[in-house]
Amino acid sequence: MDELLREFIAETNEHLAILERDLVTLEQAPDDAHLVDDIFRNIHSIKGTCSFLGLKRLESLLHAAENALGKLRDQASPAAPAVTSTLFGACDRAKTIVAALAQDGHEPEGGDADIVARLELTTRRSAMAEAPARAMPQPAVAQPVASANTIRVNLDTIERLMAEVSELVLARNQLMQMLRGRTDPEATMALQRLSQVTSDLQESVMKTRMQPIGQAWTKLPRMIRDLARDLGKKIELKLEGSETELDREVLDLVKAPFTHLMRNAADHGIGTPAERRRAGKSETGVVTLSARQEGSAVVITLSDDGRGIDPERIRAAIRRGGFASDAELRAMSEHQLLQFIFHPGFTTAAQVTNVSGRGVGLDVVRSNVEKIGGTVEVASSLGRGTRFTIKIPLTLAIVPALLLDCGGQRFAIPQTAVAELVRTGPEHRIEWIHDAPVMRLRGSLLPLVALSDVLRLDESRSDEDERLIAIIGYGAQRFGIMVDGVDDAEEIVVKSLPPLLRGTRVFAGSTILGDGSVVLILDPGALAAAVGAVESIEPVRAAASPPRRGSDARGDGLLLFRAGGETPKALRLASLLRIEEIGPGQIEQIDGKRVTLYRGAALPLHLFDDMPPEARQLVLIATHDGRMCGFLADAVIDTIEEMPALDGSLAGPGLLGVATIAGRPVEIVDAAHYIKIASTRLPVPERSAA
Amino acid sequence: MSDFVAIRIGNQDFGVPVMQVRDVLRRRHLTPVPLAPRAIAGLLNLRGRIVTAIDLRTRLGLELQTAESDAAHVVVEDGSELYALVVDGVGDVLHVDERRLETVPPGLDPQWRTVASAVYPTETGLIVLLDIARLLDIAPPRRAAS
Repeated sequence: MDELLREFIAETNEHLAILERDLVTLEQAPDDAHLVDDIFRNIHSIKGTCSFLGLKRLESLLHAAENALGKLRDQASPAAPAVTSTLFGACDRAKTIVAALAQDGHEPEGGDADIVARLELTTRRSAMAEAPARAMPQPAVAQPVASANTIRVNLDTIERLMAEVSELVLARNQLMQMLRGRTDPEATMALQRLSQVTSDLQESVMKTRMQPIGQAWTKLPRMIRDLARDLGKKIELKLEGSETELDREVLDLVKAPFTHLMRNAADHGIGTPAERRRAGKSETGVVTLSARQEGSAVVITLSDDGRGIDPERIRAAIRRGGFASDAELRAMSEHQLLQFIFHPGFTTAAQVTNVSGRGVGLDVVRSNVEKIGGTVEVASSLGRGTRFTIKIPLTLAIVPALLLDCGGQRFAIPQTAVAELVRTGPEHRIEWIHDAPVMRLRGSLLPLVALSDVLRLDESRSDEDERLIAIIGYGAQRFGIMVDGVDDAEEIVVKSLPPLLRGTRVFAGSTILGDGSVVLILDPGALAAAVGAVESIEPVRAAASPPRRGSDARGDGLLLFRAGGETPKALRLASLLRIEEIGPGQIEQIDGKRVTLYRGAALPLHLFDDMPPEARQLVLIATHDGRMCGFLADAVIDTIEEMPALDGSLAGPGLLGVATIAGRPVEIVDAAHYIKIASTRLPVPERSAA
Repeated sequence: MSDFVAIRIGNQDFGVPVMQVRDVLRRRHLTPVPLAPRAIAGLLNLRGRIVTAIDLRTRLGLELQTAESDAAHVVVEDGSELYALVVDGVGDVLHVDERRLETVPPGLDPQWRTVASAVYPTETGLIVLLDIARLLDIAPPRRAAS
């Protein structure tokens, strides 16, 4: 294709995007004379090039549109909705023609008499009287989109430049490593200079790849306008911080998520005008998209002042989809509930509409965002609106990374994924629930996984050794990766993984470090999958060590568990000895009391009244005055470090009181009471006949 | 006439099309890749490019053949990717007279038959000519432990 034509197509597409945006604004502010001027000039300048290139069809279409705008301008009358609609029609047609032009290299067959006629009709009607057709005032200068001091550069050229700069950075790093420790002042000076220039060059090239985020938003105003019309709603779109710059590559990857969230807001978020009136809101719903830079990340929020997400509907949808059991549902906080909207296949839409609700979507949004090392969160207030917060890195090409040691090898992990580093010690111990390692960190129980297990690397260290744990935050999940050590942080140039290694699924790429060595980059998402998406830990079999032994200074913590009934229960950690799992065959009845064989002796069991006997159960073994009793439980929920304030008004036999933990009531069980009852009523413990 | 670079594993000679050879290196440190197929020896840095090293011994099922000390890497290109074949030794460039090429005998080990394009008899022995693309067609790697 002719270079001239190619350039024309690129330029015209930009012009048309601007035209579309301006038309949306015109629809909202029909008497903005300046805007009419802008639109007129825009169309005029495309038309000018058309005639130069001999594009007759496009020229006559734009000529008609230009005429319509000219009339509007001369009459100084507000643009009637019919006029803007027709102009949208003309814009769409122009896009179709340009698309065909790009594909075939010539204008498509056919004419645009329909649109031309409508343009004339609508402007005549809006004129009321036949205005004398004056000569069109020509704008003094047709403004070219690109000013004289910018040039168009092929993207491939920039990509290649970027790749070469990346190599230069690596070569510089290598040189720095080699010369480290040398005391030759001349070499040091030269290296410093090289280093500075390289950094500057890198930054400059990065800048050429940067584009304002507004470029990914150009289509949104039109989309929202069309959606509002289709859905019979009134929606205003506010765009803030559209000048915030982002790497082109990142921008491309987040276009689709924006569009999706926007559709969602229009379809599910904003209510109909009548509904909004009833709720005491203005008829027009507002969707705000804003972007700002925060360090090496860009934070984008999309909020609406609509219905908000109803937790009850989420609950119902979770039940319908079988995403969680009733018991799990009861234990969930509202925030946890909300995160389910990102689960694959999850939908609250009772009806599938044309716009959304097919159950494909938010999970894709999340995975797209996470793929580039970003995060997405949702917050909502029923009746007041919903807000999505997306945090994405400025660039993917060069990322700060931590180097983890494991099995004598180093692996890189993007620093954005690492929430913190924890060294094991008396303060932070690795504890075991059956064979699942966990760690308590500020009141929450984090699942742990050894990197050597994930990577199937040999490990020749004992459990007593001090270890480092990198706490990874991935979406809503938090977990710890056990490693042998952590090296420096380093800026790494991300290279794609060689094709033969793509099936490993644990690595996101590879890189070359300053010392020239090749290092694999771990994919936090894959690690999360390896942890097994353990969002709540359920103990499986005999615990290798008790959650907490004896009654030390911090023995005032609680173990929260579920044992039938609506309300979770808790035992003081100080009284707890072990957690075991038993099957139905291991429970025996002696004199009407349940016992189980534990370390060669019969252990009395307490079954909470409202608890149905299950196939496999946990036994929480508690002690008091040297005697033991097992409490049958469905599941362990959590441990908390401190004893919360106790409401003793409900206290009774076996119940110390009720405490409020995370906004929910929890019954604090008086273990001593049950232990006393069990040991007085139970016959002398004998070896079971089993 | 087409040219091949002679390589050796154990006591067997192979030929690699010279058009695809980019470099011959002395054996270097490789970064092992956990969970990768066994035939992948690791990764190495060649002037800023990441090269996947293939353990030809494993790939051809020759683990039992003892290695010679002067191991080397023959860097070949396939598509736009570079691969380093880990071999025991590298010989001269062979000018192959195509009329003297023999088809791969049907009785050959199936693992070899898929990667061999022809057999070239010389005065000193038989040289198995390798098809690089097929050599690099390695079964997908193991999955991460879950």
